[in-house]
Amino acid sequence: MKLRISPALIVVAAGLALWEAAGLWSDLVRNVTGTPLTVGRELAAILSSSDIAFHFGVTALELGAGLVLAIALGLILSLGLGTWDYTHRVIEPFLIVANTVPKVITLPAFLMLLGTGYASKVAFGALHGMLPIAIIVSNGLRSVLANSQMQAAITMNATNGQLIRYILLPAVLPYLITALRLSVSLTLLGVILGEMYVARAGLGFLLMRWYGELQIPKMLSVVFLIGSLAFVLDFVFRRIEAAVWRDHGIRTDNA
Amino acid sequence: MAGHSKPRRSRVLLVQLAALAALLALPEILVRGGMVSRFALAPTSEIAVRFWHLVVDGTIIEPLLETLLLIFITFVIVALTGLVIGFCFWRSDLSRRAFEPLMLTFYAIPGVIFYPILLVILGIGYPSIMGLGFILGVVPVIMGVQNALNGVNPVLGQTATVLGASTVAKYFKVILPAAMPGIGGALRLGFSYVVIGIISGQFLVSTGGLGKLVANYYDRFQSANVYAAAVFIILLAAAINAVLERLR
Repeated sequence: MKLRISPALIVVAAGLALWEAAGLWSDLVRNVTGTPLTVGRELAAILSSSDIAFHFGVTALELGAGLVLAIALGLILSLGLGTWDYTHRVIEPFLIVANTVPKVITLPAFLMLLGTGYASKVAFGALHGMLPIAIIVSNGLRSVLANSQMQAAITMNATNGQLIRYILLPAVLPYLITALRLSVSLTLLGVILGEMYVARAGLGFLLMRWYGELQIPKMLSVVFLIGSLAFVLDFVFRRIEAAVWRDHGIRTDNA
Repeated sequence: MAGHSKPRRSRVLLVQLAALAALLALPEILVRGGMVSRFALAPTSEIAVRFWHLVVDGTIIEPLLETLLLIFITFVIVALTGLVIGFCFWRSDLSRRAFEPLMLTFYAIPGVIFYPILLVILGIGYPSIMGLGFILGVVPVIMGVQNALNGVNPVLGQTATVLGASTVAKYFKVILPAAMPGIGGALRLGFSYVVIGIISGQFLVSTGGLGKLVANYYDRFQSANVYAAAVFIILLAAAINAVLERLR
């Protein structure tokens, strides 16, 4: 694992060195866009200010609330509707279409209906995040319901509670974790998109404000912050996902 | 629980239409009933009228052509770049190890945060919009092409060489056709990301096309037009995806 990642680190280091060197030659890079060192200093200054804690907190809360809403809606769609063949066939085309169209175009609708504050970001994030849960969990559920363990347990007169506790939940868990990882990434995307368009707070708002003021090193620091947040969340969920699937005897290439 | 007999297709379609009709009736009831303000939502009938006007008056034509042209050009660039880089990753282990971890990291990060960087470097306009479409679209194509090539049975290439095929013929006549189903899937996925990138770019910083159309209507509080244009874009994207799915 360590050996595999090293060529990538060399590429990153070479890129940063080239960028730093460009600052020696070009006034534009030195004075306007900044070099890795100036961006690093700016990032340190931003991180030590109390302002960033507020904006970070806003984004984190919107992400958390959006995720709760996404999970609730996704589970309602998958548990309530995905379980029966009939309703599954009715709603699946809607979900597939929703998954591939540019959802950004519905952002004005969210802003008009819910206002330009936090509620529209939470709802817009949830719109992005609920789809993988609805699609993946309902497909997982249906494959579990059709499997032989389930059929055997039904034949042996297991109660509904036993079926859910001992067969359904353990079997659906891996699907749920995979769906959750995708849902976190997509909810964050929705929240950041919402903040970038119209907002008064949050990391996406800071990003567009500093772009508007052409404070490029600050803007790049925010790109780095949002990127790190997304990366860390994805990393953690990939680890959990790999562990859960491993318990089920399936190897993933995540860890 | 899961029914054994498949539900009849016509009945499923009927329920889908009923669900769609209920969804369409909702704005009409909410707005006419005074439960939601006219600035927030428009009655369905009014959205339908605006939709009709957008199409018939030709208001939609110019932004539509602009968006489609940008999507097309960007997709061609994405497809070519994705094929070449995917091929390189498959051929050279070093290049894959050097760049693949960076791309997987990219996957997890919301691509739109790179849009302001593109705007700074390329300026407001077509290049940065195409850049956003490119960033979002190229990674899934590279990964998909590489996976497709990895899935080709190595015996095919070896047999071609033994039978006296040149290197070029081996790649273009044997390995590429064998990987085609996977490559087609990768291109389709890349295409929907290009569509998302182009429309997001046009919407976030208004320069033109369908994205700007919606942003402009929103800025002017023309709620019926916002919904009409958004419905048009969603139908367009869904139609394109349906056509691509058929082609496969």
